[in-house]
Amino acid sequence: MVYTRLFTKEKIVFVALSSLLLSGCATVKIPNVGESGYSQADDEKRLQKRSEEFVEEIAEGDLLYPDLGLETYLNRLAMRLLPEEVKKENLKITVKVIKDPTLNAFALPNGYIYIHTGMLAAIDNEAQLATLLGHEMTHILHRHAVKQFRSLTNKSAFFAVLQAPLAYAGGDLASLAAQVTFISSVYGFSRELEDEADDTGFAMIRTDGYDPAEAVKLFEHLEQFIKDEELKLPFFFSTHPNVVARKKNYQKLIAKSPPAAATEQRVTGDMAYQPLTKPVVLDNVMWCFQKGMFKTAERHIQNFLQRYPHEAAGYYLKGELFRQRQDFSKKEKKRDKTKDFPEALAAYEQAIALDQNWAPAYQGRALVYQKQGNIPEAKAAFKKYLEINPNVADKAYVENFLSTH
Amino acid sequence: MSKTFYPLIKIQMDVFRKFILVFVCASLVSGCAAFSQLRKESYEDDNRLFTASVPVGWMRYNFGKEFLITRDGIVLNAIAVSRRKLDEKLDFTKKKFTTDMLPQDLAEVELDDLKSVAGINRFTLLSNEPATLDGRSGFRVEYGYYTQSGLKMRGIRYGFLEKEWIYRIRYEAPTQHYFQYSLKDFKKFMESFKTKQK
Repeated sequence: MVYTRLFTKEKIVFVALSSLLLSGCATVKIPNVGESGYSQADDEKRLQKRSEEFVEEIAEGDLLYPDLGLETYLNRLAMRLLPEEVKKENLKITVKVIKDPTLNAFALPNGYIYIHTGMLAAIDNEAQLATLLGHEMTHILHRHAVKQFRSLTNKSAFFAVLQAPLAYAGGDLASLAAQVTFISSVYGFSRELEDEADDTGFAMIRTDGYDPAEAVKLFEHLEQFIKDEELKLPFFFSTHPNVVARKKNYQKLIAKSPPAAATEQRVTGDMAYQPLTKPVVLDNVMWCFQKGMFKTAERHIQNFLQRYPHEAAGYYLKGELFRQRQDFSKKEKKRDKTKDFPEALAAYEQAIALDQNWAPAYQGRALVYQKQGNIPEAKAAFKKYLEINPNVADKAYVENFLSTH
Repeated sequence: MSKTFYPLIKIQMDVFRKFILVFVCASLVSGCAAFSQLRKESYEDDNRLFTASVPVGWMRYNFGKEFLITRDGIVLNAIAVSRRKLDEKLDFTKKKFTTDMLPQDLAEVELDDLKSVAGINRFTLLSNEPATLDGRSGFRVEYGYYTQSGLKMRGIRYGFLEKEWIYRIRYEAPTQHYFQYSLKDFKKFMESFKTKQK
């Protein structure tokens, strides 16, 4: 993840260990936001302050996806899902998008929810998005960060395990627990708290009339992503056992939910969601290419072309996928590009057929022809490429090729 | 994860963290320092198989997989050379360099690896052009970015294939003062750079 610089790997592993220690332990009971007796103690205020700092770090770090229209839509949806009793508590939910092709989302104790572009690109509709928001909002409304923090500081076993290393490092349990809690906000809470987020989030989407069957699909996307990218990092929201547990949880919730009345409208919200996330999908594919996440890129491109079969951009990206992809099966030593190049050329042709001035498609075509040794076609494509856009970034390579061939 | 060919921001963290430990241990046990001063211009590297004119007085970092030299400190100016097997994983992208790549393909992978580094903000590509190094076709890219702490950096990278290996050479320094100041040393280094056979 792009913001992993904010956490060291050691800390993330430590969160995993602390979660193991916490598993099976009773969660601290405190009122949810909006319930009677709700107030914030100093420890929660400190967690919120750290969240504010993190929000600033993200804002300053060139990590946010700049799309005001999309942000407005996400925030309106979050507000719509927010239960009435919480609205009067003056708690503001703010949803932001992070430029990152991995599938993740997280909530901070101060009401900020961050969704990766990778997640938005994978999600099909508003019902799936609402499932995600409902889950993340529950972490905030049910004060999971402070619950996890207090569980940690209350654990004598936890303290005993950490006493020696803490003393060695010159740290104290409270500050370490605060850090762990904070990292948990991003990488996932204990199983118990995640289950609670599933239950309450699911109730939110049911109240709003979304099709409950869509909820499971969100976790199918995550499962697919883990498989495609062979994830091994301690990446909580998307670690495989966690996702499988989430999926099963939602399947149980769907099975238990009352059957829909004949008149009930089951909303998926494709028409609202898909046009707003169209640029996100295209940008995210480029970031997938950058990171070498070709299988994920392929899925996004397939979805995009299904939704928009007459868009040159989709075919251009398909061409780029076949030109750039390097993934191969275990039996092969490297990818056989002789099979990919005709596919790439066909996709570039489709892009050009839809938009004759799509310069990058000519560039891709020229590069493939150059590798195939088809110099006349490569020259023709490069010339057209320069004709459409004389100031391309790789002009020096093109001119060098044209002058030497 | 291999720690070779990190940009300065990453090296800064890695090197400083390891420096203390390595320096103390290495100095006490073997008498070997983490940095040693370059005392003569001609340099021959038997691990990465190259020769070049190095700026006398610069300091060489003696650990790590890459050849790394600096005048004022690795955050302020650094020249680095790495030679690695093509099937070796890169640090930040899952893409790899392959033998059938054109120079612009090599540049594309190099830039993708660089842009995938966490902590590189507002990346700008200033130029991307073919380059010939020691008679081999390769690339030269020039770029700028801001570090997490807001320092504006500028860098130049070269790369070319040598059979099953890729050579990658970089120069990075803060845009203000340092980049221009040490650029002449890097140019001299590049003009003299030659691969050598085992």
